[in-house]
Amino acid sequence: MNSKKAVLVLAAIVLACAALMLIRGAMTSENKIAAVYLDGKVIREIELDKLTEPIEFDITENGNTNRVRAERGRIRMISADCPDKVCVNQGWIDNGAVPIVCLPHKITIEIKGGSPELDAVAGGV
Amino acid sequence: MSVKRLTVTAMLAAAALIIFIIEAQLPPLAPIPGIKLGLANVVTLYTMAALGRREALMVTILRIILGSVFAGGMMSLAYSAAGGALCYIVMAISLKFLKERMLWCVSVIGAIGHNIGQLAAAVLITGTVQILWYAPILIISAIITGIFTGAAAQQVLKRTKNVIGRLLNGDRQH
Repeated sequence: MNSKKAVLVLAAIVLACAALMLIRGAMTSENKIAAVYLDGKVIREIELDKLTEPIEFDITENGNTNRVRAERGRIRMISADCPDKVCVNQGWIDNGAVPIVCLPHKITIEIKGGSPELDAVAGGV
Repeated sequence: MSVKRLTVTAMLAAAALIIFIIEAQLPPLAPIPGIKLGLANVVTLYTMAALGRREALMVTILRIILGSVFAGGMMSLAYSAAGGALCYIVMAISLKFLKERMLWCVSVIGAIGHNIGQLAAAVLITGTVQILWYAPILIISAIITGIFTGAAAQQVLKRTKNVIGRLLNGDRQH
């Protein structure tokens, strides 16, 4: 293994990863459904494309609260009472390339394409 | 282990800890969890190449435990340990097969291992497989930051080879 080969291998890995993100982003840019996971379970699904006006809701568990805001086509965490605020600083996501994760509170928000898994789809509330 | 060797290892562990704590105070590189330079790995990698695997293991363990005491908590200890353990293992293996001028590659492999380890810990702790969508961006970031820290370790190694040899007074096993 020399440096040249190593650079080629690494470039290939970077391209493959970038391609994966682009494909995933493109596949989840229509019929967007945001799934909110708490502790690995879906607690809420929002059809982002069908939102006519922004919605906000709290996720409270064990005294921890995260506030989520969803608008047509995008979603973000607007506040969290954890020390690091990584999820809040991440801002809006509008496709599934990268999810929002709040590790301390075990909350994940993922955007996916297709139809919702839950029967009750929370749209307007 | 000779007293000199032990002392040099302890100094390197202190250096790794200081770098780790200072880096934790800096604003994040990107608004995505898990993306950081990982400067403390410069010291781990340097220790592994200049002194040996056993010393690097001690530096890693000390840095993770003390780093969590000073700049984190129990939760960050779990992520730190998962990342640090996988990073150490893949670097220790790849250092066998790669020459010294390829040290930056060992660093990249270690950085990827670190991020995969942390991602695995996140999936296990939160029970949410969907977190794996982070993998591509974390691997890209590991390659970029790994090249940077690896090049730094390689330069330090090149410039301190004589010094470290004299410090250990011919007590070099590798």
